[in-house]
Amino acid sequence: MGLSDTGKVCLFSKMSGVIKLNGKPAANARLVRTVNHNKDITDETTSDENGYFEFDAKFTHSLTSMLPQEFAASQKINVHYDGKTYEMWSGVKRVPEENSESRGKPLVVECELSSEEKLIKVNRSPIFSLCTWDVEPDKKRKVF
Amino acid sequence: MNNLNPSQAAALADDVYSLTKLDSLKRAMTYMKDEYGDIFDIWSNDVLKGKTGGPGFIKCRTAFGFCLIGKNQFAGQVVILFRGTQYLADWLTNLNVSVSSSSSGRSIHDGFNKSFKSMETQLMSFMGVMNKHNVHTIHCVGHSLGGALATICADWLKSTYGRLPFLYSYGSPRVGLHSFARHMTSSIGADRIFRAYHKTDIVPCIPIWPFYHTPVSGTDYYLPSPGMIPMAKYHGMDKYIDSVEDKTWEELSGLRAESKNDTSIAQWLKEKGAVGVTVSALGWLHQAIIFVLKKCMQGAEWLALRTFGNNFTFMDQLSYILTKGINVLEGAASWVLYLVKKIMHILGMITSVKVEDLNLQFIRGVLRNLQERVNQFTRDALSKVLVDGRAV
Repeated sequence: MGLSDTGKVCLFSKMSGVIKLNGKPAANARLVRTVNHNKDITDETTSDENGYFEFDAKFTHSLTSMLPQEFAASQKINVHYDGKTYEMWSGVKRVPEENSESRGKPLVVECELSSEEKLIKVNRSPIFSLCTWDVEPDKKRKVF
Repeated sequence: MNNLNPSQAAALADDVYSLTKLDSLKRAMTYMKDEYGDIFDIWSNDVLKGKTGGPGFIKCRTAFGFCLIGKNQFAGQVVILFRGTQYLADWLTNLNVSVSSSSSGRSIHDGFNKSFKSMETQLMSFMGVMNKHNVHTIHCVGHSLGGALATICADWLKSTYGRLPFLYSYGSPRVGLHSFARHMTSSIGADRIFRAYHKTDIVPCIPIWPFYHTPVSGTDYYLPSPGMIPMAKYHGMDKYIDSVEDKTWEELSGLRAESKNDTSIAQWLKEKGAVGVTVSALGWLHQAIIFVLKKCMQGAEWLALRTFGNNFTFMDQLSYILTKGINVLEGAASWVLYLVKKIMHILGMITSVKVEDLNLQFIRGVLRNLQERVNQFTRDALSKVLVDGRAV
């Protein structure tokens, strides 16, 4: 088939940031990240004493899925903290480029676990989260 | 008419990819409400699931689409929404494309048909729900393989329930043989079918003859895109959204592909032209095959094709008819020769051929070669798509 290595697509961009609960850093929280392009891939990390965490970018080779499809990768981060589970991030990445979640800038977030889930749409990708980051949402197209 | 406009149908065809990938129905509902306003409910707290998989194997059930029930200003209307999958490519590049019977008893692509059939039970129970909602308008919408499924669904609605839906597709492959396309065109009506495609989207170019697009006559919605070579990105829904933005169907119908009539097809067959398979060559070739077949069959029904049985590929059947045409009909031989030479030219073969050389074996060799090259071309185009990580 002659498929090259350039079939690399980004399922979840590198993310760093701080988690808080009621304004206080959530130290040693366990973050479980799940991405799904054609199958679930899970990894996890732990926040430090300042609530700071990092996830490396997650790539996949479309090669593994044989042939292509309209790009749509689901993204999820659950935070386990103080005996509770918080759905911190749940979205669908609709473009394969890295840092599409923040329009090309590094994805640096601030997440408040006690806040209400908010939906924004960036690069056609819906993201439900407890986080804020520096990004301009898509302009609303009023079709209906 | 109560049809969706191009941007509405495109937004739905695009959003189905996000909706099926969101991890809860609640979030899918929230997203839809945020995008469209409070006009749809998702039926039954479940997504439409279908069996997917390429030729020869069936994968587990995956989310394939949604049934949306309209409310408020959309009351009385429903949308049956399908998405494409990565398995489309497997089906489209399979050498031995087989057909099976649609709900209306016409021949359609067996792979697409199987995908649809795996959702039929769910759709049947949705029909029961619809009756309770006094539904007067049904919209079937899809992109890529989802467009093929929406087409099959529209046929199913009409032949099984006598319902007359609207059908919208973006970058759909060809779904069925001529009998199916013709039946759809008359039973649903060309004015209720909105088939939009980019010039350089490879998917609508395949499968090649004997598959036909629906509608066979009336309007389709050709959208110009740059170049001659199919480009990855012009199959993507993002490009379709851009191409139809703020336009009406009427405005889009003004953008015409180069017109192909008997005179221009005859002209194309006779001229040397460029070597190599291009989107344009595929389009002309499709029409030229039909043109020469008509010369060979003189109005005989295409339906005859099915009587050949499953041991013949379509290209074998075509060789048979062309050879017969040479031997039986005066005047057909020269057109068959033009066609064979044109195909050989496109394939880069030496074309010093005479009518006397045209026996079944020879023609079959050329046509099989063509089929292989088209499949290779499709695979190449699709892997370019792959490199971009986009679409199909």
